[in-house]
Amino acid sequence: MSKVAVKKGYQYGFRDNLTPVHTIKPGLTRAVVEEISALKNEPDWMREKRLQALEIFFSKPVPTWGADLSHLDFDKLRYYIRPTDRKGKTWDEVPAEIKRTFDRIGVPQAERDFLAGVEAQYDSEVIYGNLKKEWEDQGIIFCDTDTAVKKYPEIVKQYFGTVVPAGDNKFAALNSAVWSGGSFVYVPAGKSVTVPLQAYFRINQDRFGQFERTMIIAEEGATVHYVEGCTAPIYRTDSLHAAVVEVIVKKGARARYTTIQNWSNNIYNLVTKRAFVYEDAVMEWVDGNLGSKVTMKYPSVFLWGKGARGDVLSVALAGKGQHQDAGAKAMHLAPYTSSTITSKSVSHSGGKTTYRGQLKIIPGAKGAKSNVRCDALILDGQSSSETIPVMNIMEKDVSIGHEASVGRVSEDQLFYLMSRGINGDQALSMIVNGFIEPITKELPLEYAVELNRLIRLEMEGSVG
Amino acid sequence: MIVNRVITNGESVKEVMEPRRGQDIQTTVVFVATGEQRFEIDLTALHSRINTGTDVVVRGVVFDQASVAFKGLIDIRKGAKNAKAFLRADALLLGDRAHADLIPSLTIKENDVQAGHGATVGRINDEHLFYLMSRGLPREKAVQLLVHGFLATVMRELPRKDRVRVENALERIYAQHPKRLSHFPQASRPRVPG
Repeated sequence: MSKVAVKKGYQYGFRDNLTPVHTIKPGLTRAVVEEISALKNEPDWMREKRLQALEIFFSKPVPTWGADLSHLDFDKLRYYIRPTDRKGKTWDEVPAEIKRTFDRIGVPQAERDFLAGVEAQYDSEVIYGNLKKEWEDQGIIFCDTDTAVKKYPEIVKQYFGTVVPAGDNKFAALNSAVWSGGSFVYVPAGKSVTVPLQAYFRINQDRFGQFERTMIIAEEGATVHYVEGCTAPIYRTDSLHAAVVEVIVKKGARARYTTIQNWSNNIYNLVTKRAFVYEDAVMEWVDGNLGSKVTMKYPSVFLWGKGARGDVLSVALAGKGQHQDAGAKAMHLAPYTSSTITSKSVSHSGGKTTYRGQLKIIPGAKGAKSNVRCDALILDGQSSSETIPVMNIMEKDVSIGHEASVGRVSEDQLFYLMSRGINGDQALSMIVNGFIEPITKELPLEYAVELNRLIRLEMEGSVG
Repeated sequence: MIVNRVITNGESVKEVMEPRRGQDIQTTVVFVATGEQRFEIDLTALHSRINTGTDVVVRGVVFDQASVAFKGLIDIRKGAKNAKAFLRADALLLGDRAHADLIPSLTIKENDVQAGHGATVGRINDEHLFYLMSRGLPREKAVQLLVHGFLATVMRELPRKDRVRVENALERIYAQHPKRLSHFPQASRPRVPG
């Protein structure tokens, strides 16, 4: 991650169309949703969508098929906090553990303040300014979703909720009702974004919102790579993060979405990510789950067009008290579609990892191909792992392969490395880093480096 | 210990294999589904003791509009040290409306283990078929040979009477509709490069 200077005092006053500091009371009611919509000066259609979604949210039960969500108390949560209201914590209030991690993975102080919630955001105006002009010249839109609703209502209206409708699941409904922030990316036909769009390039918005709504639309033949999150821990006191990500990849286009999630260990991270992929288009999800208390996240590809391709690369690391329930979904809805899913998970110190996958091939999706590979590493006797892939194959002219393995680090490998003079902790972190290498090699360099450091940190004291 | 199951009549199979301390269990299931049959195969390898092993192989062919629903769970409990558990499930779809649902799953609560599963669903390989036909075999015969080849490695594990049952089931299917396989596969279409 690049070193970016923080301009003090900038964090106030950059919002022009919001009323003065305002916090909404905990709990979720129609009035709260209406208030959020009013605070944002939203058009009626968006308010209607929010209210409809709220009804769906109330009508759906909390899912019980996955991770344990019984401790979530919807009445105690706050559903909208102005980004500026988050300010006010001091560096001393940041937990020691988080500070230690910052030290060890080498995050610059400016970023630390921001990541720990001491600063509202950083100022990356200089880099951003130049890039922004380049994008605008090409007609590429990159802003936060709130701004998009105001500036580009036709595009938002056309696609909002089409990939992930509010009725999809309880948390998608919740997000649709109270969403705030998130990125909006629109790439016109034939254009390509040469540098990855990173969430932290966006300014004047809340970066790590609780209920982000991200939409990416790649028109025919367009190319885009979007990156969000970072390897450093994000310290937040809110306990629920329920984002929705909708990606539309039109004919011949290519999109990649990279996420590295490292929320602090008190957060429920329940995210719905889905992409619609049309003829000959390619969608790639690269997904890393390192933090949070509970993660439930299954990036999906719906392959609607002939020759569409979807890839999902996922890595999960679960430590003490964590459950990473992650996976992928691939729906083959047209002939000659292909998908590849690679998942690597590591559980240690009592952590639990789950791979939950779904692969569906409908009748008539001739020539469909899918390959799924999921490997789990369990580092100690307190940790556990689950693999639950579901395959529905309703067409005979297909080629489907699925492979899974679970095991521990072999004594032989450890012994070999240690016999070369490498100490136990280092040897273990080398092996674990090697295990997840298929994913890290797809990450932007700075993320890969930080991820490796983070694993070394997590592995400390694991080998006696 | 060896467990064998051959299913040709649509009966469902539900089995829990729980090896005793130091025991290995090998399980082989072969199925041949035809017509409108719907097979349900539900296997659990439960490891609760130390030094246990399970090896499950499921393999079968699905004709016509038959379907097979397979669930295979490897459940390794805490304390089941040195467990080795493997499961493999392969289905060959031959019928135009044949279909397969597979859920191989793993629940592992012990780290001193080696466990894994693999599953494939597919059709007859065009190139294999082409090769046999280029040697002068009629299409039906070539398909039959390939089906035989697909099952052969697993059949080897079965006792003679079970092998005969599978062979008889296949013979019956081929005899009922001698032309059943002649349409398969359809003329080859252009492949979209991967």
